[in-house]
Amino acid sequence: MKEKNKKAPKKKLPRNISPSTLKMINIGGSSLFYIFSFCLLALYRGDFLFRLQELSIFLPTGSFFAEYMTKPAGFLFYISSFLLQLFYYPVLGAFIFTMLLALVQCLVYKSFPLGRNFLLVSLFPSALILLCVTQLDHVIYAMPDQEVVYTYLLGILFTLSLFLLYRSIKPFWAKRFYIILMACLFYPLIGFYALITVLLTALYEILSFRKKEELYVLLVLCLVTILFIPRFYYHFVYDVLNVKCIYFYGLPLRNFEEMLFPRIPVIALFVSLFLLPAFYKIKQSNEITPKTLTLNILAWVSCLLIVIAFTYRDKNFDIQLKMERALSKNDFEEILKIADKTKDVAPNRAILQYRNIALYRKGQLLDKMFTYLHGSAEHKSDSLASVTAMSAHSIFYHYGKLNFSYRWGMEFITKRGLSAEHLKYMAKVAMFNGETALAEKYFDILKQTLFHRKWAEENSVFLYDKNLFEQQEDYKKIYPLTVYNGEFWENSDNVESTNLTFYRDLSGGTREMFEHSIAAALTMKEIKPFMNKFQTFIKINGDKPIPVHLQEAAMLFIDLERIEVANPIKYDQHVVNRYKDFHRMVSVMGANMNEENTKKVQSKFGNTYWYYYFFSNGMKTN
Amino acid sequence: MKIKYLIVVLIAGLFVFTSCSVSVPSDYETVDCCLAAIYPDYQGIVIPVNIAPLNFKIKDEAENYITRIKGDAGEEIIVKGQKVRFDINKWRKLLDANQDKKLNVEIFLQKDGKWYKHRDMEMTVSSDAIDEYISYRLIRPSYVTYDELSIRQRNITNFEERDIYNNTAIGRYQSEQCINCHAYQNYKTDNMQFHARQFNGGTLIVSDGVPEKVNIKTGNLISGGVYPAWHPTEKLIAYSVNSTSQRFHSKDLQKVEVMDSESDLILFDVLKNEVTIIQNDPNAFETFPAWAPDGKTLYYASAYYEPKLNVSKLEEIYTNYKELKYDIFRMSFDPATKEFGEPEIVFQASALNKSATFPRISPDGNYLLFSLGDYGNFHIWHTSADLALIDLRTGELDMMENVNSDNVESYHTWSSNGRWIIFSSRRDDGSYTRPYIAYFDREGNWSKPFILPQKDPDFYKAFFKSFNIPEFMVEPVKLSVKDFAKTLQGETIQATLNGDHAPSAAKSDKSNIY
Repeated sequence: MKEKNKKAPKKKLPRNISPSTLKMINIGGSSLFYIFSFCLLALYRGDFLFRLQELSIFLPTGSFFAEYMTKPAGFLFYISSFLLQLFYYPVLGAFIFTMLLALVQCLVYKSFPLGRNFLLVSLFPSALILLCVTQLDHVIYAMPDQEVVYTYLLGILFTLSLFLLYRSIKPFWAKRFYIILMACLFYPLIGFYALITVLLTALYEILSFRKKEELYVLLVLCLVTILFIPRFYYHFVYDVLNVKCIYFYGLPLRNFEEMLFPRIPVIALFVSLFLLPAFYKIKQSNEITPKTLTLNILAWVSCLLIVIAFTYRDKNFDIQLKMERALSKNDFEEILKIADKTKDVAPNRAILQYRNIALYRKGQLLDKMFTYLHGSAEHKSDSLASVTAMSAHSIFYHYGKLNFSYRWGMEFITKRGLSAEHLKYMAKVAMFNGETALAEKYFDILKQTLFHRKWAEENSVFLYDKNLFEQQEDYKKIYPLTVYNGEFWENSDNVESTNLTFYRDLSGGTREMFEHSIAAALTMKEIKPFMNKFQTFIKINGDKPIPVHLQEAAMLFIDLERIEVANPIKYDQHVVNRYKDFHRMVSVMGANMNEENTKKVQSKFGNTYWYYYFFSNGMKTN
Repeated sequence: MKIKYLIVVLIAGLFVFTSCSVSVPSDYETVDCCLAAIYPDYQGIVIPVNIAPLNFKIKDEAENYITRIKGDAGEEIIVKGQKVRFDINKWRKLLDANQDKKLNVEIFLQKDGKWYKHRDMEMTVSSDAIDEYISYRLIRPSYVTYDELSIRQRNITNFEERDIYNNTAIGRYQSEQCINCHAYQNYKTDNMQFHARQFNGGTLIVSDGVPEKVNIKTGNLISGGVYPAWHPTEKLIAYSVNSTSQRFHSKDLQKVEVMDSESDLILFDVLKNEVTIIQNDPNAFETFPAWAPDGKTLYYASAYYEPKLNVSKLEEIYTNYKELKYDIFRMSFDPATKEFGEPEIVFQASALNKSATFPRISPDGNYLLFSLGDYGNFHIWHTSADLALIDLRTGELDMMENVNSDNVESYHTWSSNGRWIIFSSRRDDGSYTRPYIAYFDREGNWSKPFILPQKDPDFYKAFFKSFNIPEFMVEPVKLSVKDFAKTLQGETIQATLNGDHAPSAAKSDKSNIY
């Protein structure tokens, strides 16, 4: 008789996992992670890296260095600042960043007895450091400590290197001496990270099998070192330190203060650093069991998934970054290409304004500005970076509001530190204004940089040759926008509102200003100002074709308001036909304008002013 | 073998010696037409005997540069390189040896293998020493935002500099604490003050070396004390109280307009923590108090204001901002009774369609130095602002053409011996305020001003902060940043308003002046 209760034998994984196979898995897994990391940074986040370095600057001068060294961990931030500039070429910057992540993994592996069975666990700190960067969102426009992109990485590298050095010291007396010497020497250089090195050594000693008496001595020494070295520096070395921060210099405190950092990866990073020493207590055998292999691979998968899952994703953020990169090169064609490729994405107000700037520069504003989707999409993160904070310096410049452009450049560098991009705009404004010495100051600073020197050299020649200056494209397009009477503005805290209000209320001005003026009236859906401006436009336009959107708006407003026009307007027949179709379609739908019907209207007329007028509502700007 | 080593060492030593010692070229072509272009410009200036080395950079491009500075007496100094940095000990000896004499600066440039010598630059060493210390606030010329602010002191006989107070020392890392208006009693630092606003705000007053935080705003005062003036002998500080706002020009390159919509004068008794109102005429904007050296007269600026338009006061002020003109007034003061006399106009700038602010009396009491612009009082934003001087004995006005530039000249202060002034100027680039020093000789003549020297001649080019409110001191501030930080985080003493000493000048008397 068969034994009913006898269980079927469990299927076992093959036990023939050779060391070479495991080695391949470890190397392969690590390599794949770094390829992934490189691709993520260079390809997916290339524009983001480029933007990061545009919002900061590195100067190879003594005074630049000295300024960093006035506080602990200044050296760490200085090196970070140096490396940050290499993101000018995102591929290069991503490569270096990835290599340093690999170095972190090596040091983690050497520092903690993970063994080959758990080698891929050593990826965790690297993955979390990577996430600290890829999780950054619009906050980059607001955070003062841009160097944070590298400080975690370099700080951990220093910590692990110093920890390894400690472990290599054998005599007990030398270990004690090392702890104090290391903290004394490195606190000014790396601040907080010197203290956590001491903490790590204490943890290591607790977990390793040291005699109790020696252990107690070391622990007391570690505690005293952590508590008193910063105080010593506070009282006797540095003039100006905040006593509440002396244990934390090295962390991006200004970002922390304003809650401008990705909190979870940062916390997880430091927690992981203090969990890894647990491996000192885990007995590991040489045998490669399926369980250990599974855990090892699981660690690798987790690292990848963590980064993939929590990397910030916001289509508009990506579009904005691409457009800003193109704008930095005055590549308006590229901006419009990006806009064309992303026509189905409801934009944020920065994107919309960049688009309009590009359209104006290509002479297509009044023909195409409403052929794109309009919107006021909010950030997907809880970052409060406003459009004004992000882009006022560039948008005001391109709208001819040079004083306000300068103002926002100055506000940024006051609050966030020197930025290559803001300095460029301030130089251009000063040049426009004939403030030669001021422009020279900004150009001279940029000439000292590695990657912005060329731009400064090319553009500073215009300072001394007015004819040459007046021939360049920027001048030809911007100067006509500056021909207005100056007045007081109580504030210019909302770039879009300021521009729209100014241009809507404008009477007279150059043709270029008029173009913006009529565009503002259309954007604000103000019939009366538009009709007044339109009448003027007809007079000065002569027999030239009327831009499409003006025809659309005129047709609509005349119909809506039953306006009597003095002279017949030469509409294009296709615009007339389209309006009839639109009118018919909307009339049929009537009160039944639900989401489905709206989409139908959008699919047919989404590229008209009519659609914008009736269906693009509730726009908010900041 | 030993001899061989000795020879090697000797040759090496000779090499090092010859490469370190510099001499001027013996064969050169003279370029008489012009001076070598240098930055900063130190040509034709008068310098105090105890000033730090006037390091400069030769702007002309060349392969090699040699600079020699020499006087009739003392040892010449020869320096190699485009950046000319003088050894401080040699510099001091040279200046000591050439008091009230000229120094010649010869600049040699090597181009295409040939040496050229430009026309000699000259500077005169005055035996009148300058006060050893100055203090200033460092601030970016921003509009609304600010970040790290510091009040720093600098020893101008060398390059030593340190923070008196820095707003990052307190509270949050990026503290929202504005600091300003440092002021000293009679150039000494045992009695001094500055304001901290917003976070842990208050006026920090040091009295006999002991710091305290005081809230001067009391009663119906417009604000706490703003622009301070320590009485030269008594523990009294005159303040303006102001309601200040600003607006931004959309086009004008002067960019920012700062206006008071109200301002009055008060007297703060440091020992009693008591405020007395000096002047609070609603039709006048009294501000910028300054004491005469004997402490018996208070000078101030005042503008008459009468509403004309049917709009808010603020709107009207900004609509007619160019019509607001300040004049200089004074009132006698009895330190014993703390009574003020009648206001008396000293300089009616408004009659010249100008606006005068920042009165400062020379230590000998003979001269009134002030800032004169086209309108308003916040002259740091007015390119029309110049320094002007009135001889109080004769009433003669000196427009100080040798001192002024076509850009802003504003905040100024006398040295304790009355021979030097330091003032704020934006002549370098129109945006960043720099401290300039000028000499005033016994005959009442001004020398060409020069910028405060820095160790690195390129310092100002790469420095993105303005030097605000330069003030002379004869000694350093002895308290540390930590001392001030501790006080600011401590208790605040509330000042009280003393109603017994209301201003004796009636409103109707005031309006007669206009």
